[in-house]
Amino acid sequence: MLNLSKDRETAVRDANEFVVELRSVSKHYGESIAVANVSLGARRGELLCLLGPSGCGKTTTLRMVAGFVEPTSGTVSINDIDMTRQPPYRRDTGMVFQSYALFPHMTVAENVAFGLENLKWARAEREERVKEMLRLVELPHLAERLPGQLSGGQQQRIALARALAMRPSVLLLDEPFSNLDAQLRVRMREELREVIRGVDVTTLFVTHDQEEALTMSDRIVVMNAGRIEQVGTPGEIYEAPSTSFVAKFIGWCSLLDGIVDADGTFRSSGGLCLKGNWSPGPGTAVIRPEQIRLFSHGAKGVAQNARVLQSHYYGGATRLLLDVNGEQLTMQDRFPFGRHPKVGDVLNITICIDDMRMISAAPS
Amino acid sequence: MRSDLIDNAMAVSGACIRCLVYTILALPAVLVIVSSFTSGETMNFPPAGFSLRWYQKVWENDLFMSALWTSTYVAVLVALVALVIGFASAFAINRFSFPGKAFLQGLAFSPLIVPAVVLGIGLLQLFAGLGLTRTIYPLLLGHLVLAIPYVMRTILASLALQQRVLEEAAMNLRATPLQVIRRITLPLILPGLLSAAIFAFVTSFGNVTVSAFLTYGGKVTLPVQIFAYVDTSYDPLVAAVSSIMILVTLSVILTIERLIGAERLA
Repeated sequence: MLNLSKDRETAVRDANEFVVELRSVSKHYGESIAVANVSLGARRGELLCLLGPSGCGKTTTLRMVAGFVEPTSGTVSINDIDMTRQPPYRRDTGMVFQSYALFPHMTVAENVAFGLENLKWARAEREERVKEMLRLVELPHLAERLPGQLSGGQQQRIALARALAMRPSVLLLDEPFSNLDAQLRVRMREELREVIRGVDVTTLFVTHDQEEALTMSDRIVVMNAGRIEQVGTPGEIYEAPSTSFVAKFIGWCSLLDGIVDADGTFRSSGGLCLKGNWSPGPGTAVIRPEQIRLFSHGAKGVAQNARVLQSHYYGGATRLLLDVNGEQLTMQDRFPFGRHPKVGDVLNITICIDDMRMISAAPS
Repeated sequence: MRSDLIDNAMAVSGACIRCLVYTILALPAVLVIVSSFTSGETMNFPPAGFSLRWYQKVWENDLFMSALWTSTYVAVLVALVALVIGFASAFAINRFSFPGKAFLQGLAFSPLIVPAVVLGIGLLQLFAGLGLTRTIYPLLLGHLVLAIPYVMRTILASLALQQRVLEEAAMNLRATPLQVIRRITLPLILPGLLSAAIFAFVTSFGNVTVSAFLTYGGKVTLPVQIFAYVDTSYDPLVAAVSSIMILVTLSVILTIERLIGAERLA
């Protein structure tokens, strides 16, 4: 659909300037603290995702960038200009709202043109830009419709066209897929990503859906209770979570508390023993479902007996809750038709420790 | 089984009561309108014959025609001014928190509690003291005080239903607060504004109690003129005037409803 700029990833890595930067930003509502001392920056052309459970402060953070919420302390700058006290209409942002917020009394074309009119674009240029934006989101035939006559997916694309029409320095997306059904959500995700890559706009994106964050982002900021837990690429966040909250929030996993012996062997408090070479001390082992496999001869690792506690069939895969030496672990695999493990079955499994993450307890 | 029976009985009696209420509400107006077409000399039901002679008499009666004009003029002015004041105060109450907000809200609704006669006497005294009794202002002000609570209530309800996120979206699209009000807020609450205007117009147009005290320069409103006329004579002329009043009120309501309907279709 669009030309993806080549060498984009290197460009992102090299460009170190922040288009949006938050420095020690906090927001208090009376006694309650919505955002606590958050510092982050989005590099030029980067798709930065704020991920966390509801109430973690991610939307408040986004709204502070847009200017709808004034921080209690700290600064928000866009293109290196301090915007902390500027009203929303003086900030160079384009936002797609969770409910899309299309103006119901204006046609699609009028909606897309609204920002351009306020920016005092000449009529001819405005009309040209509206056409261009509608072509970009592949809905040029809907220009004269009212928003109420559009489907959810169409409304979302028009909201994106409206936000991008002004060529904002930063695009803000607030849970843009939460109002779409599951299948449409995946399709729109891919489309949106492609459009954003095509116009190469710096994007701040808020979601509570880890899959959305992993597939769409250049970097992810995981937030919890108003604070940043970890910032990193999707790979880093998934493979090397730095806290048990991140490990648990990003994808399924089993967390085992225990101690690593002097010889590098991990012993869980429940009694499970894993031979490895982790650094000694108390720690939490993060075991992803795909790290548990059925044991086959010749494979690395030690065979363990596991009793099936729960079995959930997901079509492409089956997710099992296993009892391994007194610890409960989640496993996911595809089993041949007719050979799905049942509750009570005993399987011979092996736990692949090669890329297993050990979170050391914070030194006190 | 048994509950079905009770449900049915409730539904039937509900329908009967609704019919009764509507009939009682509409009956006086229907009686007046029907008897206004009489060709006789007295108000009778059923009317003696059909003619428009009493309407012609109204047309020729300067007192009634001038009163009709005064009423319409005042009601339109009241509707416009009440709309501006009502929107401004409703907007402030809906959007901002400021000291005295609850007081302002209470003050705006207080005319609903104070008897209109008291209000009329009070305004008469006030304007007599100011030497303004020969102007239109006492009448305008009296009607405004009565109309604003309805206008404010209607607009407050519209504002409460409106999605604030649309205004945020407009602001994100570089619209200044004034542009947001003009291009987003007002168009979206237009139905509420129009029904508020109807309330204001009808309140002013039909008022007797306050208007009776606040005539200006010898001019009275139509309801007051009817009242004065009925005091001395009771003929079908009053029925014809009353029918005209009903017609004016109804046509205002219907016109504005058509406008809202057309707006929604567009």
